[in-house]
Amino acid sequence: MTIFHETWLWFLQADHWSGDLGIWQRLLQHLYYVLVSLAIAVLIAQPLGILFGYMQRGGFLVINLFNIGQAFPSLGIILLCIMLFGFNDLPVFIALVALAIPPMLTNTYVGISHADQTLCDAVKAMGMTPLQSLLKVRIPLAMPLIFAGIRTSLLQLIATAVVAAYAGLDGLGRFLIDGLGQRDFPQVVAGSLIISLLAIGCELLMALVAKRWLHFSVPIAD
Amino acid sequence: MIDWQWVTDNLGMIGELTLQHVQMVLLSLVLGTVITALMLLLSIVWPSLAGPLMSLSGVLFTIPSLALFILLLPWTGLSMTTSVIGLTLYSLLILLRNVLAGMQKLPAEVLESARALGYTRFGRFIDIEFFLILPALFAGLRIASVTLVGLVIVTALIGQGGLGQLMIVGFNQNFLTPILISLALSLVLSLLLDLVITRVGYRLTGWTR
Repeated sequence: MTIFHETWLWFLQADHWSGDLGIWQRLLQHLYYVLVSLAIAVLIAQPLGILFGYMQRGGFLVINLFNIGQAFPSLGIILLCIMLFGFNDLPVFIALVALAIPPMLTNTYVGISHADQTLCDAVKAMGMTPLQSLLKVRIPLAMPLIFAGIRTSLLQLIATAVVAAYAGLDGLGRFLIDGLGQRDFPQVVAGSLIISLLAIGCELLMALVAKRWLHFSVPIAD
Repeated sequence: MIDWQWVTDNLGMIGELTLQHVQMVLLSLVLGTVITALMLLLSIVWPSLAGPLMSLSGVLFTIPSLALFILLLPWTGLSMTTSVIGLTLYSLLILLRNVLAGMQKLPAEVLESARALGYTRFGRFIDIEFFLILPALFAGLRIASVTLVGLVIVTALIGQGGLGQLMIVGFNQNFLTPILISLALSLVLSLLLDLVITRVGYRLTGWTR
């Protein structure tokens, strides 16, 4: 398998790592796109999910939005946004944010609205105001689901930002798209390896954070 | 917004690409189901395999789709085979997770009664467990079908892709119609597949209601 050897040689060349077209720069760009759109999507999806979940309303809308979001191919959304809003970073961000919202919205909604009813009644009887019970009971109880939603969105964003390179976005996807265009297979395979490692690394990091952090924040009802 | 003249002129091509799209999804779903069944049998013969299989499919599933397809290139090149293997892998991961999770949630009293009745491990799977995990399998098939319809589009970037090719055409020619048509068709496809799978599952699992 000469391609693996060639990929290895590709990795060994110093100029593939540094500079504007290097791995580090592309990795930073990739993380920048992913994290900025994730942050915007969190700011939109979490308050909405908590609000809908607390009011026990809009579940039908939220779940269907999720299903439709799943069914829409991300590549199509990105290309559509670019053609409608012009060729720069903004339409890509709009598409990325739009794709990141449904998983978080659904998870948060389900977490808040399906919080243990006995516990919620108990804290009501103890004299907590609705706001207190939301902040001190429902949200901590929903934390594992909220976190799962953020994790799903994060991984989806990493994958979508790769595909978005086809539409001219910078980031790690460039190795794949440019490499395919030039039939430079070592570059393509190397890029795929980096992206896979990034995704698996993020997944492991999130799992670690959840274990450490949720361990402290979930009040166990026993 | 939609140039209907273009649509009627290219109806043949649109139909062909849609057919290709459906074929790739169905082929990968069927292959994925068969391999899931094999994996499940393996995990029954060696129960300690279930945990590692679960975490392996979890790790593989985090690999972004385009990267996964490309990591298959050294073996199968820019071909239909690459796409189908990648898609099968994805459907396998989704199905296996659902089915293994379903196996873990089987009611203990049923399994114990089966044991008391003298079922062998394999006989118990064929007669009892197989039917009890059908709902989980169909739930997995629904998720997998919707995911695959979207993923086939990504394979357009490695030269396959069914309806995804319409998107590429539209983008390269700066022409909105093909993109909208392929978005609409892939939405319809995933809804139709979902509907069919739900109906079949409903028929096959009559005892759940």
